[in-house]
Amino acid sequence: MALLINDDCIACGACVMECPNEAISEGDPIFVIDPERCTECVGFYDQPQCVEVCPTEAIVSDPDHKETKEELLDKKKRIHGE
Amino acid sequence: MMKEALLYQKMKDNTVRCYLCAHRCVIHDGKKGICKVRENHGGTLFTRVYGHTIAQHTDPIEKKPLYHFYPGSKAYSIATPGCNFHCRFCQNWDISQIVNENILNFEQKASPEEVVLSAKQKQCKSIAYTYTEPTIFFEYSYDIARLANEKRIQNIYVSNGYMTSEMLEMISPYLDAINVDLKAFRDVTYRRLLGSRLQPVLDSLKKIKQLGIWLEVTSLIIPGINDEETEIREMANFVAEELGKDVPWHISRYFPAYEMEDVPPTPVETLFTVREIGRDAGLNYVYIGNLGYHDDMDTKCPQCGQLLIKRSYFGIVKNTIREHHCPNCGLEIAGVGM
Repeated sequence: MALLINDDCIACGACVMECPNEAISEGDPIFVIDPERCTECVGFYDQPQCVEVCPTEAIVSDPDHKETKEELLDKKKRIHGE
Repeated sequence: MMKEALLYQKMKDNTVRCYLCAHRCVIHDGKKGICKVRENHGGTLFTRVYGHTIAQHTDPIEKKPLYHFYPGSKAYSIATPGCNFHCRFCQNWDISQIVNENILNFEQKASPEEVVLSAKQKQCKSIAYTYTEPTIFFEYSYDIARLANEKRIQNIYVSNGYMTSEMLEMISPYLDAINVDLKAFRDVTYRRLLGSRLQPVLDSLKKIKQLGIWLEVTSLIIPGINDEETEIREMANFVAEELGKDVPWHISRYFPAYEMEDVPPTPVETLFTVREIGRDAGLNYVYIGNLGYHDDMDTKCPQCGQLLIKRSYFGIVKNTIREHHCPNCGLEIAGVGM
């Protein structure tokens, strides 16, 4: 499933540069993840990189975007090609 | 004690933006900033540590370390819990990282008046805001510093340099000296291991010089993290060129701590290499700390090499500087109260 930034976010922006899918952007006032682009880092890293760096543990699973690992991998291929 | 914070702005929906430090946290109603010290209640930002200390000690000024600021004097040193960094190798993590909220209940109450009085009674030349990050207890340190200043007691920060320029401008009339940690010269290291960014620290360092606050810089050298020669050279060049060749640079030896227990202590040879790089960059005062007794803690005249201040571990043994000048060649020695 894609990830979601909740209101523990303090808008430090640490996550933005870590994302291999450019799925995170600055919202108003906190950052947002585009579920169409978030692959939870599947195909790139073992752990979601944004979760690793978030200082306030504000990045959690998005219950509205449940996906299997295969679906996430497909999404990665759609975004980046094979 | 909850006290309304300084340096924040109110936004829509009871959200606030704190601009005490360079994280410039957006804090929703009921939430805390990255420091876990500043909390939003109904659109008003409060500090949770005002008037409560987790440590009060009398230290030699050399322990801060400040080697060119009233050498041989005592600094009344205080801290509250909390930090805006999350260094994986923090040496004081038990008080800097609020892992358990209970830490806020172990604090000792001390009003600004009481702190200044204690400093005076213990014949301290200065009050040092240290051990954790003074930026985080700004409101408290600001009130103490103003009172201390009236009583002719000096004020010192030992800081990671992550405050905003707004904060520096506000404290600068009362802040006499600061030691700033320059923990790496790679943004990725600041992001990955410290939970922050490099550029705001560099901005603060330059601002501190502009404001005329006495500055010394400390760099903890960690094997495999920031000990690569190119990085060290860039760091030393930054200090020499952007801050000045008379800014003392303290190279500090790393010891395993917190979440980085697996990284070994810095090899002594590495510290000597770093010292040489510092001298190559033109820095006049390069010191090695955390190495036990060593003559690299002594101040020598950058012009004639005369021994000026002999230091033992945390204190001075002998100071031959005469009114800021080398007694041998007459060169002016940088610093305050030398």
